[in-house]
Amino acid sequence: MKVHDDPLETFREEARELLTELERALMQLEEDPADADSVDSAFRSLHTIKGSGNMFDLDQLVSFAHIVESVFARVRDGNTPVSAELVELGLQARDHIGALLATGDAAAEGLLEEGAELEKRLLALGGGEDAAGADAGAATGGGPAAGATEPAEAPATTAATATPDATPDDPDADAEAEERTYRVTFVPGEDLFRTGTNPLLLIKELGELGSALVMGFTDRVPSLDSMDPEACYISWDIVLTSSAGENAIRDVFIFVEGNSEVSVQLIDEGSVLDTDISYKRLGEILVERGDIAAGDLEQAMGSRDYLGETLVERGYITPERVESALQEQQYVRRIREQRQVTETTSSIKVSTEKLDSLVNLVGEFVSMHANLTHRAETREDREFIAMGEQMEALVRDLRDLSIDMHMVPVDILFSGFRRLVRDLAQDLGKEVALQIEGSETELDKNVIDSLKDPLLHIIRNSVDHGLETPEDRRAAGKDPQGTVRLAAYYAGTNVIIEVADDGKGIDAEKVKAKAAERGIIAADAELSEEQMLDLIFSPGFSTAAAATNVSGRGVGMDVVKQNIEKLGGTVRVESRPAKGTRMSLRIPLTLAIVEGLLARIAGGYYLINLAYIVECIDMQAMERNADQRIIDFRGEVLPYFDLRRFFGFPPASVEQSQLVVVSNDERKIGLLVDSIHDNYQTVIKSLSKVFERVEGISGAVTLGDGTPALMLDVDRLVRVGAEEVKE
Amino acid sequence: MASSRFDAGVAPPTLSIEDELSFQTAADIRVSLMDAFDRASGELRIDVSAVGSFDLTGAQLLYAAGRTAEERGIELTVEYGGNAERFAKFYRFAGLKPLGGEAAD
Repeated sequence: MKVHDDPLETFREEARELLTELERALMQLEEDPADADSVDSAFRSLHTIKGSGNMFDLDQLVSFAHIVESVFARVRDGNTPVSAELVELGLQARDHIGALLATGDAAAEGLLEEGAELEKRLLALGGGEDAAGADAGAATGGGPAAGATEPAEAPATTAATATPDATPDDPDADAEAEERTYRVTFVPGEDLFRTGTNPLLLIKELGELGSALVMGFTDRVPSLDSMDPEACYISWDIVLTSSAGENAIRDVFIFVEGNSEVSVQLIDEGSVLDTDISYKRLGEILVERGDIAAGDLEQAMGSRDYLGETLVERGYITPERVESALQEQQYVRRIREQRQVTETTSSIKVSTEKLDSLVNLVGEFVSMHANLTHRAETREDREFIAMGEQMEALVRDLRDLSIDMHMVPVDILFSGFRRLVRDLAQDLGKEVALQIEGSETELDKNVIDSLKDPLLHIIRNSVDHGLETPEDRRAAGKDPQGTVRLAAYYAGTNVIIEVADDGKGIDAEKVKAKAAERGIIAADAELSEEQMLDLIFSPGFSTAAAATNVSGRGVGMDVVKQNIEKLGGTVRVESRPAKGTRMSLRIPLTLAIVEGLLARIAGGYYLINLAYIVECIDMQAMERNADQRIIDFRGEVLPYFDLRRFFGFPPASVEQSQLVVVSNDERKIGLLVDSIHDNYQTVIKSLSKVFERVEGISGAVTLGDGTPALMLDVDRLVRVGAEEVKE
Repeated sequence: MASSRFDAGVAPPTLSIEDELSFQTAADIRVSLMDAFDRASGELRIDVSAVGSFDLTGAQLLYAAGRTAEERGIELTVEYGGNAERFAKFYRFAGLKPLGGEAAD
C-alpha cells in the first residue's frame, strides 16, 4: 500500500482495499450463503469505510455506507437472509461506494440519483435499521420483563469480547485501521428494563467493536425501602479500544438514546506519534468523568495524602469510582506500552515506489559486485578475489530480501476476477463456476500489476468464447454450469498461471483456415496442431464470428502475448475439442534481477536464465548425429539447436562448441554456443526498439565491465528449436 | 416464580431465595428482603445457592440489600454456595463487584 502525504488519499486507498474485501465476501456469500465469516467481513468493511469516511466529512459516502452496513448487521443478526438479491445489491452498493470515493462529496447528479435508487432498495431489505437495535430487539422480545439474562449464559457468550479484565491485546477485527480508545459512559434511564431493553446486550455489542474494559457502578442503587425493584439503577463506564470510530459506538445505543445518558469521549488517539506512555492522573480522570467537582479535587489535593482515599474519606466519591478510574488509568497505560512495543517491532508501511527503488539499487549493486569480481579475477588479485567471495553471500542475502519484500500473493489479483466472471456469466446468460487454486502463490508486485490486463482478456475469452450456453452444454451431455479454473503454482524460479475452461475447445483447423483467410499464413501451409493453435496469438486474429461487447474490444491475443513476453514470460495454449482450453502463462517470480549463465556466440555475450538450464556439456565428448542434429544424452535422444546458425552468424566447429541443455518443463533441448563463462547475476534492462522483434532475445543486460549482453528467450528457442529439428 | 424462606432459628438468621431472582420476581423478593431485615438483629445472611435464574434486576436487589444493611448497621453476608461460579461470571461480564465477596473470582 502506498503511503500518501494527503490523509484523504490514504483513506481512499484503504477504502478501495476494503471494497475489494467486501467484493470478495459477497462473492463468497453467493457461493455459500451460510458463511458467517463472510457476513462479518462484509459488515466490518462497510463499518470501517463509514467510520473513516466520517473523519473526512464525506457525508454522502458515510450515509450510504451506513445504510448498507445496517443491512449486513441485520444479516449478521439473522434478521435478513442472504439471498441472490442481497448479493447483487451489495455488489452494486460496493460499486456505488467506489464511485463516491472517487468523486468525494462533489458527486455528479447521475451518481446521486443512482445512489438514491439503491438506497430505496437497500431500505426495503432493512437497511437503515441499526445493528444494536436489531440485537437488543431480538434479545428482549419477551416483553417488559426483559432485561433478564441467565447468569451462566450472558457471560459465556460475551466473555471473549467484553470482559472487565479484557486487555488491549485482544486483536480487533479491523486492526488495519487505527485503533483509538474511548470512554463510553452509559447511564440507563430508570425505566430501561420496562421498555424491554437489556443493557448487558448493549455492552456485549459494544465489546464486539474491539476490546473493552467494563466497569459497572452501583452507587445509584438505593436501599430496599426506597427502591423501585423494576427500575434500572446500575450505570457503566466502558473503556473501549476500537478502530470502529465514534459513530459506530454511538450507533450501539441508538435505541436507548431517548431514555439514557450516553457519552463517548476519546481518551487515547492511538497515534503513532504519541509515544508518551503515561496517562492522565487519577484526579484528572475523575474530574473528566464528572465523578467529582474540580473544586473538591483541589481541596483534596492540598491534604497530600493518597488522593483516592482522601476523596472517599471526605465523601466526595465512592470507592468503586476511584477504583474504576485507576483501572482506566492502568488500561490506557497498557495500551500505550503495547503500542510502543508493537510499533517498534512489527511492521511499517512502505510505498511501492520506495521498494522499487530499493530493488533497482540492489540490482545495480549485484551488477557492481559482479564487475568487481570479474576485474579481481582478471587481475588475479587474490585479496580482492577473497573480498569478492565474502561479499557474495551478503549480496545474495540482500538480493533475496529485497525481492522477498516485493512479493505479494496472487490472491489480490485472482479475487478480483470472481466478480468479473460472475458479471460476464450474467451478461451472457451462462452458468459459470470460477475455481481458484494456489492463490497464496507469491509474485513480484510489479508482475502482478502487469498481469491484470492479459488475464482479464484470457478469462473473458474463456467465458465468452470457450464456455457454451447451458442449453448447448446440456445438449452435449455436460453439466449446464461451466467451469473456469484459475490456478497458480511455482515452477522453479517461475510461476505458472493457468486459465482452463471445460468449454467447447478451439477447433485448430478452423483457426488455421481463418489465419489463411486473413493472410497470416499461406493457404497450403503445413502446420502441427500446436502451430495451428499458436496462430491465435497472431496480430489481428479473432475466432469470433461477430465481436461481442465482452471480448471484442479490439485487443487480441497477440497483445496478451506481447504483454506476457514483456514480463519475460511465455503464454501457451492447449485445447481439446469439446473438452476445453487451457492457457498457461509462465511468469518469472521477479522482474528485477536474474541469475544466468553467460555464454559467447560469435564474439557476443548472451545470458541464459539459470532457471532453464539442466546441464552444460562439452561437445567434443559427445556422440552425435550431425545430419539430424541429435546427441545421445545419457541414453536419451536430445535434439540440439545451433545458435550461430539461428542468429545468422557463420558456422563454427561443433566439436569446439559447448552444449547448454535447457528445459522449459515440457521439452528438453541443447543450445549450441561457442563457450561458457561463469554464473552471472544482473539487472535486466528493457530492449531498444531495434531488438524488440528479434526472435530468441528477451532482454538486454550490462555486464560488470560495461559490456552489453543479450538475454536469450529460452522458452521461445526451445519451441523453435524443437520444430526445426523435426523438419 | 418467587420463592423465599426466612429462617430465624439459625445463626446468622438466613433468607433463602430459590428458583428465580429476576425482573419477574423482583417486587416479591424486595418485600421478602425488607421483611428479613426487619426481623434480623445485627446479622443477616442471604442464601442464593438455590437460585436457578438470575439477572441484573436480581443483582440490583442484592446491592440494595447491601445499602440497607449499611444504613441499619446490620452485618450482611451473601451465601452463593454452588452458584458461586455462575454469579462470578455474571458479575465479571457486567463489570460489577460481587456483593458479599464470596462469588468465585
